Amino acid sequence: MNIQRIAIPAGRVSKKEINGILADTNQALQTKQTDIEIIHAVLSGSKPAFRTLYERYAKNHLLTCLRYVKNKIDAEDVLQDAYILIYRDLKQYDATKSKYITWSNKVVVNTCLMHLRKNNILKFSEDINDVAFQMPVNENAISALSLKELTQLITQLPKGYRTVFNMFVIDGYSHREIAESLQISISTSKTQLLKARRMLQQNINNQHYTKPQNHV
Amino acid sequence: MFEDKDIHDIFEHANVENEDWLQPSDKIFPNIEAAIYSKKRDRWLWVLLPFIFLIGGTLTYFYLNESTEETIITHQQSTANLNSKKQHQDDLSVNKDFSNITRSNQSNEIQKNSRTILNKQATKLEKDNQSLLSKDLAKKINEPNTTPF
Repeated sequence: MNIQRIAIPAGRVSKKEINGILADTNQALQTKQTDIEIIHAVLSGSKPAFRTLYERYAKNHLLTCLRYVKNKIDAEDVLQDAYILIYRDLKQYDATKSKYITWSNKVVVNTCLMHLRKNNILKFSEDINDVAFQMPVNENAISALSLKELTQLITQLPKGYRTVFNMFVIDGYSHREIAESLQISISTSKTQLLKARRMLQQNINNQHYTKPQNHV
Repeated sequence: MFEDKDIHDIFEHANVENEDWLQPSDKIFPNIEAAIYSKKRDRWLWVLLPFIFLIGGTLTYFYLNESTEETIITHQQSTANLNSKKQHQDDLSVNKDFSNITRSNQSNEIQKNSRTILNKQATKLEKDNQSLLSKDLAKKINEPNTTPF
């Protein structure tokens, strides 16, 4: 394990200096250590290592939460619950089967679904009018969008559409897994996905055509 | 229609390092830490709780047992004192009675003895008188008739 040397001032050390040393230590840990090394440190009881793990992936996980939960305050609550579960189940993580980010993202997705179920947010109404109207597809529309814009477009989808879309397209669940997880039929999952795709396409096109174009 | 893969890749390979809008608020990690480590403390408490009860119970048992023994000893002592006092009083009264009885017995015996002695003396005197009388009578019979009739 490579650990960067950190200069510790001689003599009396002030609180500010201690905080500086801790920040340096965290940075050194973050940049040098691999996920597995950090996880081993967390499992052996290191609090700074857990902080490092959190700081390394908190943004990715908050992005996942925001895709499902929409509201940032709720998303942060879900993130908090998810990290408690991640810490609890960390000894079950098998580095030979998947990357830490993949494993932890599944925990975050499950926590999001738990949150939606708990608050009775997940409702799948079949009779929502189909988005039949289609705008011309622009090939560059998606690539022109920033991550924030695309996330906002996804969060604008109705909750049922959004959940199925996120699970199938981004998080890689199959329709069977979605159906089992959300307690719906496979055909409902497929219908919700189709409607979500159409609505998102429409939203992307709207965004693309309303966005001011940069002319060179 | 867009390709699912395009959207998937955008999120899969997203470089979130410079996305400041994704920075969680500062209170999140302290909350997580507090929840995790307080839970850990709670878990230790649950593990230690039976031992605390066991030790507490044992100490209480010994304390109660000791105080019960002390109470018993004190009670026994006080009972013994009371008994000894009572015994002493009983002894005193018995002695008193006994002395009364002895005294009366003694006087009875003295009376009896004196009566016996008196009886003996009286019997002896009577015997002596009788022997003297018989001796006088025999002498008078055996004496020759000296006096003329």
